[in-house]
Amino acid sequence: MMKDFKISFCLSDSQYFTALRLAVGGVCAAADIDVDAAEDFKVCVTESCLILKNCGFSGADVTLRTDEGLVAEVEGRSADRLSEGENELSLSLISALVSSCKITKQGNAISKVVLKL
Amino acid sequence: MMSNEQAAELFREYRKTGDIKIRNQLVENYMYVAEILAKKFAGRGVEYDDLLQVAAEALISGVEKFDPDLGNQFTTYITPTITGIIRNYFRDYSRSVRLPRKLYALSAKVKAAVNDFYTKNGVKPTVKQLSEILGEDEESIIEAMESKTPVSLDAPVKGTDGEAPMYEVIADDASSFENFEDADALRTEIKKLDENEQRVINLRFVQGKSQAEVGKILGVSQMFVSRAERKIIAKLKEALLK
Repeated sequence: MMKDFKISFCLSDSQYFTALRLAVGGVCAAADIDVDAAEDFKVCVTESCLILKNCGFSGADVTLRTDEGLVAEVEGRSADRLSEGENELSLSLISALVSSCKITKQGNAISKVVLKL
Repeated sequence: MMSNEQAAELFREYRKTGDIKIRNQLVENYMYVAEILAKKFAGRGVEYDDLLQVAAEALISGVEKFDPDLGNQFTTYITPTITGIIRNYFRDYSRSVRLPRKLYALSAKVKAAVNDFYTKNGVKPTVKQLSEILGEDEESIIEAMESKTPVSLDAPVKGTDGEAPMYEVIADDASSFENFEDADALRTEIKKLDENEQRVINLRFVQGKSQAEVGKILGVSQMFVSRAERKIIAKLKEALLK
């Protein structure tokens, strides 16, 4: 049975980013990920949320899975108007920290980021 | 801030002339990248200022090496470089005991391989199997497994009656007494100790048990054993130095 951990939250509230980091840290600990890798993964998940925010999404659905290594699916939710946004730095940072990063676009805007540690 | 085209032009000029003023101009233009990345890694036990310094050094080095005609934007090129250097810095300086980087990396691989093997086979792998999986010799695997959790000898350990430093509760190596020049004199002095004291000496230094273990055998606390041990050693020292 696939064990998913899901979080849906509003991207406009920065305190929820802290809550997200704590949740991701908890899942990393449960998955027996070493502390440095867990910290890197927390950076990548929050960075993915910031990318979605830059593209115009007001909310995000984050699903964490531990069945094939550690995977985070970060998907945008609710947007009035989407735009490309300036995400080059964030994407470079993510690429440097995880073993794989797949992005899905709606037009020019990134609507989903899948991270694998 | 200059446009990508302006920056590319300056990079070309810098590569041609090596003019330090141009390099500094480029570094100033991209300093925000170092600042952003240093902030991303702040709060992990290393000061932001230290991280910024590491990131800035990597930025300068990146500016000196970057070739704009290889097709990459500078930010795409420099971000993984700075990130890698910051992560190495964490590995080298933020731990209580510094581990060789290769050993630390292997330790993480061993952990992952153990989990992977267990998931696939339902049993934990042997060192030999890990050695085959990771392509490393068995000794390195064992060393990496041992290196996972460095602990300070001064770290407090909770006992039944309070805390004591780690070095007081771990078993002593039986060879501690090997270097005594006059082992016969020591034996003679030990024989003069009372029965309980001789038992403590036997359990601690012949059988190599920890103070806590000795305490359990004798039905006393670890602290009691610690005090008794200190008293016995002082007594023996005094006798031997006479």
